[in-house]
Amino acid sequence: MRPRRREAWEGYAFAAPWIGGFLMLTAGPMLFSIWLSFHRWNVLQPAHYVGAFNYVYAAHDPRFWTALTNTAAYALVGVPLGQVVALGLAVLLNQQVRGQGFFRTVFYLPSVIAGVATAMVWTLLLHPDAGAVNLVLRGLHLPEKSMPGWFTSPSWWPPGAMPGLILMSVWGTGAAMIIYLAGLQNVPQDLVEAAEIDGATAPQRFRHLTIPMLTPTIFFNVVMGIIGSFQVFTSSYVVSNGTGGPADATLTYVLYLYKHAFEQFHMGYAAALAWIMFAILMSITLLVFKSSGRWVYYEGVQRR
Amino acid sequence: MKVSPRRWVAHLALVAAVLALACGGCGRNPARGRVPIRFSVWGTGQDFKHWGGTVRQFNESQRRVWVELELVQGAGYSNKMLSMLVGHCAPDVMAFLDKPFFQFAQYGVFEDLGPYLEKDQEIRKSDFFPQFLKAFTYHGRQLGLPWDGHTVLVYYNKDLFAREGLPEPKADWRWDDFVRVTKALTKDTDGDGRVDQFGFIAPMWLNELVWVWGAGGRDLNPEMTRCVTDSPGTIRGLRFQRDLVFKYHVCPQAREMAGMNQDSLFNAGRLAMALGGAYWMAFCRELTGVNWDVVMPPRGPAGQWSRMTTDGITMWRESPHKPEAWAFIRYLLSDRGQARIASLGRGIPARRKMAYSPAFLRPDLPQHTIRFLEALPRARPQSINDKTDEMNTVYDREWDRMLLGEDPAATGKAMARQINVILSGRGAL
Repeated sequence: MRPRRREAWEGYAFAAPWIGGFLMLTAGPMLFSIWLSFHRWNVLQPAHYVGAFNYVYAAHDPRFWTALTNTAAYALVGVPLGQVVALGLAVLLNQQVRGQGFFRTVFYLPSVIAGVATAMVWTLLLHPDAGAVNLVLRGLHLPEKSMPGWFTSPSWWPPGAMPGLILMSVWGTGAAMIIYLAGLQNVPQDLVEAAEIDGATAPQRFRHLTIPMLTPTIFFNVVMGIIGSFQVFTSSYVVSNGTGGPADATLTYVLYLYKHAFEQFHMGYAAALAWIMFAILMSITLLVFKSSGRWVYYEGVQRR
Repeated sequence: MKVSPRRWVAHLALVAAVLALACGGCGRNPARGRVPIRFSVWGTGQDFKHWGGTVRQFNESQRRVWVELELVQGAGYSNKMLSMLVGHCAPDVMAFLDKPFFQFAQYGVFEDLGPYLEKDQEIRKSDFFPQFLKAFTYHGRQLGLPWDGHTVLVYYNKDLFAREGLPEPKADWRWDDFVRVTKALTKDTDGDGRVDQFGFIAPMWLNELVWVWGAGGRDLNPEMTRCVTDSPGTIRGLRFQRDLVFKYHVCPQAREMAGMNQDSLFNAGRLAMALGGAYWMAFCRELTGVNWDVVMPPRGPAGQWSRMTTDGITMWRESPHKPEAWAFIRYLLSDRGQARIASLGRGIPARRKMAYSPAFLRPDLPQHTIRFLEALPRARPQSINDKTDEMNTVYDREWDRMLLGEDPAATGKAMARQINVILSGRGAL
């Protein structure tokens, strides 16, 4: 066997467990959900073909747009904010200080705690009357009118439910932080030293050396962040007790999908919603990929 | 390695001893020789105690059937039942609230219990409160039977009334009286500018229907073909509720609840009045520091109404053990089963005889339990049909918006607009 061919076979062999799992456990339900999205089905009675009705219905469904807008807003604010916080933490944790391992563990810890537990803790912390956050703000003598209502208010300002959800998401940036940390450790030290010798200050080195070298990591984290933020469910479910309230302020896309599928048994519509989300996510991801040629720098690759 | 025969015997003896110990540890299987059936019900720890006792009592009362209790915690009960029905492995006997019952009944998953009831010598259809029975009737067929029901009354803290020198409310009180006493009972006790004791609480749209009905409004028209929340009566009822929060400031907004809910506020003596069904009685009876009683919701400009809900029991149509399942259902509805429900104070027993028994009325207690029964002629259920779940999502959302400040007229119109689309079938998913 030629080495290239052999290498390909080895690759497939290593990927075989995943491919097998995908074909057996994921591909079937995926194909079924495409079929389902063109049917009306309440699970207990036979499905009826309805053509593209579920997709047309979504276009005219005000709650679909509310859920989509809420999720887009969550992603639009949450993803950049999350990346900045994760990168900032990674830079801090990359410093040679005592107890470095301890701090890395502490900051990563929220990422391994169950989502429900995290959401419940934040619901208490952000309680408008008795929560620790508002108690601190009250201590700063903030006027009562400007006090955040968090999960009891649908407003953006003073901070209401959606800012609360975003704040919760930022707390769980440990996974992105670890990837940034790995990226930072891959920045070639000879380049850093050369820049130092040339007289570059620390901010200059960060802006003109570290950030460009980190762009592949930023690219990866942004794509994963966008996909993750569109799939937000646990936090919105817990803080609103499954309602998406107050006044639909925490009605995220997946929560809306879940409510149709498992509370109202509209399986066909829920499947259509899932495929619409897939199309949206695919488009955004492709856009980000397309834009990556302009801002992602791969070492050793010539830019066109 | 060669193993000697003696060693083989020793090994075998050891295995036999372990097996004997394991089997012996299982003890005697009490279900042996009986037909096993499964019974599912929703609930929490307290419910587990109650239902565990009922099932144990049934299992001890006869030698033919063995009931396994499957208590589902939290709000996922309907989902779990759905999954099991889809998988053709549903429990033989399933408990349901009136609302999800209707939703499931349309799928044809329940056995018609009418013929069973007709043949029964002890339990007669005429024994039941007709309102409760109707809640489990689907297109003329008795697809479920009620075990208990609830009327919604105003629970009040007698000590808080006494502290303000207010007389306890009477059954013929009116909205004006209600506003007057809630104002007197809403207090900033520590002078920090924030209310510590509330006159009333309005946590859920469904119970608050009593105000809508009191103002002459309704949720749907009697034929259930059109939503009428944009009618003047309904808007008046909604406005009254909004005024309790924003005009009279006697009801807390969500942000003022300080992490508490109706239960904890009432328990802490920080809530003077709250609407609750007969189901709330068991909780209130366990409160040690609260001296409470119940009274009919006050009379509005167009009448005085209570809300009614019903809990019932169904049999899975595909159950392989229908006679045994019926044996358990009829036990729950028998004098003995109903007496147990009555004594727990978790609802009005569905059969009149037991509802009017001392076991439910508890003349030994200071509360007027009879008022739950007196409210029955003036109690209505929410309009329930196979789209209720979908409609409740709309009601809850718009109700939320109103309690955040939206005008009641806009709320009523928004409810009607969305629900009429659901009812028209144009949005059938």
